[in-house]
Amino acid sequence: MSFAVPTEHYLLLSAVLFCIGVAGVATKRNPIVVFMCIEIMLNAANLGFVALGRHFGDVGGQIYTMLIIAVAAGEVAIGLAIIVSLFRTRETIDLDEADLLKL
Amino acid sequence: MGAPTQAIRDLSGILPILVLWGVALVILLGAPLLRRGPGSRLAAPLGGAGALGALLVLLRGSSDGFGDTLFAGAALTDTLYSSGAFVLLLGGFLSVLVAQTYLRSRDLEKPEYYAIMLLSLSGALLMMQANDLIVLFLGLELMSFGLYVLAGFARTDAKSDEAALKYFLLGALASALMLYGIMLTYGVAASTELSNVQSAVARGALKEPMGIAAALLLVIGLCFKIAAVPFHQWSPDVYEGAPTSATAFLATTAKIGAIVAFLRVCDTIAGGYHTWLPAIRAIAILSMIVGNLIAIAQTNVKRMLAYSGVAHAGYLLVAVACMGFRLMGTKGTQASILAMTGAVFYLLAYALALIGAFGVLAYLSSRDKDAQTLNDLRGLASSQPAVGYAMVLFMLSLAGIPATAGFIGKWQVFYAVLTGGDVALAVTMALTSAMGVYYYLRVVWYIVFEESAAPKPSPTGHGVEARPRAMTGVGAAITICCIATIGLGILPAAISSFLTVVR
Amino acid sequence: MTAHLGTIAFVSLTALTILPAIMVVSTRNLVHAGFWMLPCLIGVAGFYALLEAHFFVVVQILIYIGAILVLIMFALMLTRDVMDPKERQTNAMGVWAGVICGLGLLASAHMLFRHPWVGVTSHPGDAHAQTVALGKALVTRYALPFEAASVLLLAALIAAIVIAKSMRPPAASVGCDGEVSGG
Repeated sequence: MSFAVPTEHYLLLSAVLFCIGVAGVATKRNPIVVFMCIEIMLNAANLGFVALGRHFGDVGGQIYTMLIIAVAAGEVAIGLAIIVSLFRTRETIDLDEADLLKL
Repeated sequence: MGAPTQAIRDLSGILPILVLWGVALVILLGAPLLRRGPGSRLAAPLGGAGALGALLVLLRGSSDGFGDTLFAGAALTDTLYSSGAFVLLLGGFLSVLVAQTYLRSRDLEKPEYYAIMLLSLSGALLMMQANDLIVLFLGLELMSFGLYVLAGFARTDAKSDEAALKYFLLGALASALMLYGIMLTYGVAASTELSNVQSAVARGALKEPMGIAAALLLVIGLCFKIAAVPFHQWSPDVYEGAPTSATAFLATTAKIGAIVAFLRVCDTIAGGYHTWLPAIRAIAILSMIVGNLIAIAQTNVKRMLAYSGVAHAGYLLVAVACMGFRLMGTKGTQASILAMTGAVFYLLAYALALIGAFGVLAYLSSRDKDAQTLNDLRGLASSQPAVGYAMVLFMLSLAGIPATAGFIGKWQVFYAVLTGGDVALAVTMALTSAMGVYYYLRVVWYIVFEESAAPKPSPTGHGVEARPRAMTGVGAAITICCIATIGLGILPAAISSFLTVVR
Repeated sequence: MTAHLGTIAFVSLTALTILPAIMVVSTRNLVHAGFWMLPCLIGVAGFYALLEAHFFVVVQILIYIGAILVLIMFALMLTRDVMDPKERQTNAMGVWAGVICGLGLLASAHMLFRHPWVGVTSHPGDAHAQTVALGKALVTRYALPFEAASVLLLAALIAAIVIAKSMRPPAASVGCDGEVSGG
């Protein structure tokens, strides 16, 4: 089996995913959806790491992906705990309404 | 096979981290006993012992084994790490003291608070010790996880919850940006180890678009953590919403960890300074100006300190910018070393003054009153002279008035950037510092010259009749901060053996 | 021939990943956004298969879909009544975000195709050999990050419990009902 698709195509794809994630973070109002967009960004980085690891013939890329998946799992646990807790005290999680603290 | 000795060397290099992890585990496992009854008095001392133990281990270890890489290049010990760690752990210890009193008086105390604090400290240590960008990232995340939770620790308080949410979302975004930067670095350098990154930069990696993108994403991620303009929007809300003891901790820990990591990263990529130096200089100048300007308008002391923190991030970025001069002749090299030492001293002075100031707010808070605004400080010098004048001292130190530690720190950074020959940064730093004096002195004015607010006879008020708390943790923290701020202001050489960064 | 197959797989996986990702960002219904994450994550798993990172195909499906996405859906449904799906779900930044992302994409295409790709591109071993190498690297060269990641997970677990545990007076919190969420 040959190395059919060149690495830069994977990286371009990863950049597309990353930009979609950034756009989502910038525009969405619901913190959970914002968080999903951040997960898309992390996935983009993961994909890049695996593609580059393969390109360099280095096991490091895969290790990084593994560590990042652990980080993402921890992040989701904390993030959703915070969101659920805020929901309990405020009964709203709209980012634009969560404005007790203003600039 | 020399494996066992290598393993021992590796482990002893990260001994402070191991101590923190160990004590955190002890607190977590003992949490049922520490939660109520007689055991509840032990949680804070255990937390303090963890930070202090790590500090002692660090000082003992500093006699041998310097400049080593550990764990096959994942981490290292050098003087930048050891001096940064000294400041960090001292700040951590003082924050435990503040938390002990504050959490108790606000009825928030839980043993997990201290365990999370220690884990967060260990993350910051890992970040400073990292010799590999991925280790730096893990340290950053470990630190941030703790800080998100501490910010939201007062869970019945909607402001605290919101602070946690804002901090979390923006922090997670910053992490994702930084991670993408690390991925691109990996693509450019085929490794994330700093020494390999350095040689890739020497080969001209920062002239390629991909290297430039990587460097900028890394800079953005770190600027988020130190709350530099334009990535500072989270900081006033988080500072205000978080419980005061958590604010003291997160303000100092995040800044110390991120600045030391920032110094190390920029030192590594100094070869490509033409790419990132303009960005850092612009961010530094913006932070100094914007932070100081907005701080003037604040009436809430916590928010004011947040914006002043933005300005301080700017001053510290001046030191980071000096890393870019390293390869510009002897003067430049000298400037970069001076800047490292100066930045660490600055961080120490900042941590002492900031924890002291938040300590005073914590001291004045009680079960149903959370001292936050200038009005809460009105006439403090006459009602509670000791605390009042301590607050005055901390404000003077933050403003950088001579004979305080803050002045020495600012002077060192200023001197370094002048040595590097960057007059624009030096002038901005001097002018904005002068601007900053105004709002610090306004606090002093409120404390010393304003009449005390109508004294409330109720015992829960913050008047003279509040219960004596001088002997509690926060009293000790304020005392230590006061002595150290004056002591270092007059005799900065006293501590230079711990804080001098050698290259 | 295999190169052809690889290209076809790449193109179809790209569609499988990118389109749902766009839907996540653009849909108004929050729960739909959560469901659109599923094909997106599966697509990424497919790319791992194409890159012969077999272990990560499994990890991606187990952790990202099995744990993370399920938790996200759980939180979405728990807080669903709060936000009216007919209401605007985006803020005024939409156009700007689109412009900036478009520019970012052009820049990244430029930077990727200008980059001199010198690489080894050695053929990775089979699934078994790769996983063995991965495991060995985790406990030797990458022992410190591995340990740090485990402490990180512990910290996240504790933190999530502390935050999400229902607030009650100490006397009543013996059998505390925490939403323990962990990955």
